Amino acid sequence: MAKVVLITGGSRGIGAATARLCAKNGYDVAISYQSNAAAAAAVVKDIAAAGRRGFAFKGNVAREAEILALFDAVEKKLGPVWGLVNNAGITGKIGRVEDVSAATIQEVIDVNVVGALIAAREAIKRMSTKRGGKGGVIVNISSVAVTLGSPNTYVWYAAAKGAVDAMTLGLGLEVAREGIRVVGVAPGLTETELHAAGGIPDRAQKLGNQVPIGRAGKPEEIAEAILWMLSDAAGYCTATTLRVGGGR
Amino acid sequence: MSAVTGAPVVLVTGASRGIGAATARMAAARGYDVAVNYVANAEAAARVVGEIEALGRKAVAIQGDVGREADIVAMFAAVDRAFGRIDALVNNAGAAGRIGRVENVSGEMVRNVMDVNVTGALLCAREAVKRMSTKRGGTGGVIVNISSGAATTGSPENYVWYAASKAALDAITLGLGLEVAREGIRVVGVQAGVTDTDIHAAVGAPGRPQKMADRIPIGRPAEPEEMAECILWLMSDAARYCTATTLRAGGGL
Repeated sequence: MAKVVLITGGSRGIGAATARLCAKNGYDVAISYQSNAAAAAAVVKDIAAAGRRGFAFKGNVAREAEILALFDAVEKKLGPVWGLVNNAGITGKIGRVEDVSAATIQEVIDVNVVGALIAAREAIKRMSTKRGGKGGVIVNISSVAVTLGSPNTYVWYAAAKGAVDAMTLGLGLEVAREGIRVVGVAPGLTETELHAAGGIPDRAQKLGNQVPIGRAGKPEEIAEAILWMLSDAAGYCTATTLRVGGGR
Repeated sequence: MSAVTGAPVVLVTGASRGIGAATARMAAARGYDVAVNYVANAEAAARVVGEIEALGRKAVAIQGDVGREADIVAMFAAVDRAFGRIDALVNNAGAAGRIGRVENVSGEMVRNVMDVNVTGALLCAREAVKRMSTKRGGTGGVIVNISSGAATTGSPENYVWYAASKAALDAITLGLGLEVAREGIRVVGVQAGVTDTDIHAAVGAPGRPQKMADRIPIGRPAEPEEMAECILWLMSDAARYCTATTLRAGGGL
């Protein structure tokens, strides 16, 4: 039986690249997506083309009920989740704190923090060796924004990802002896549609030259780090976050 | 690629034992030719070289004390002679002194630890950059600095000086990584956790990994091979967007 990896927000960007790379590396892959059914279907098709089982589930990780339904559906379709990639994330519109609405902040926290924590809870229930599970790995997608703070861009997103890093640390320590590793990957500027959603579609291209390495990252380059963190080769890495920012 | 064998070439300092030896072996298994630096244990270095040759790769043992600039310069000259190039440097050689409190430490011991872990690593990196930098006609490369979880725990009652040296090394990873980011060179670090090597016997605490197991969140010390896996991944093309950063591999510590 192949191990099952669930990737939230798996229809596009880093999530989709991770889903495809997971399939190539022998995992069965479930993705959740919020709205883009066509993109999700394309990812599932690529998973099947790689000879693995794929499954897409429409659901918003900001809603607890939908996360519960997601885990149940994945379990029914592919079997218990062995790997969880907490990838679904939003930034809200780019701007300054003085202009941000409470609704935007709340939405960003709901998706990036509360959603990730609830998804992790559901994963642990299934993975923990204390509960009869076979262990597993949780990869939280963070951001270099945590240490940059993202002034004039999205301080609230930086704050949310800071919370995610604290969760990687605390939860990682909490379940370290239950066969579960909890790790983070903090991407830098990456060529995804996240920037369009933030209101600046060509942000990655525009800012690429300011990155020490001289360019924005590709989703596939972030996926490589996630796949390594999922693998047994990273067996001694837990409760820590790897920065993949090209020096940023 | 080596002009002689067509393989990429890695220099691992302190490669006769522990994490260095595991890294040298794993690098060979993944297609690298390996320069095996050692300071004192020629027999152990020869054994590592033999294991690499058994894997069908080229290896040379190079004696040299990373605490001495002249030895470092000679070591890189030996790499040049043996392989004609260098694609990766693993700054692994490290000294910790004897376990104890700061109030009892000698100036000589602190200097020795800094000479090897900081000055030596920086000078090795300098020699590597000279050869790798695309600005100097090189073809790029990767430098992996072996740090320690001590860099953030501070290691009170054990070896604060060692912790300080590894924090300095992390600063080198950051600063040098940014300095050469556009010259085809990545500089990355691995903060190793408590690993089952003979460094613990050397500092006067044999059996320390096992004794500490219960204080490590994951419940056990690391095997040298687990650190080597981290190093090899960071050296690989899969990590091409990782630079100027350090991966913690501490089992939660």
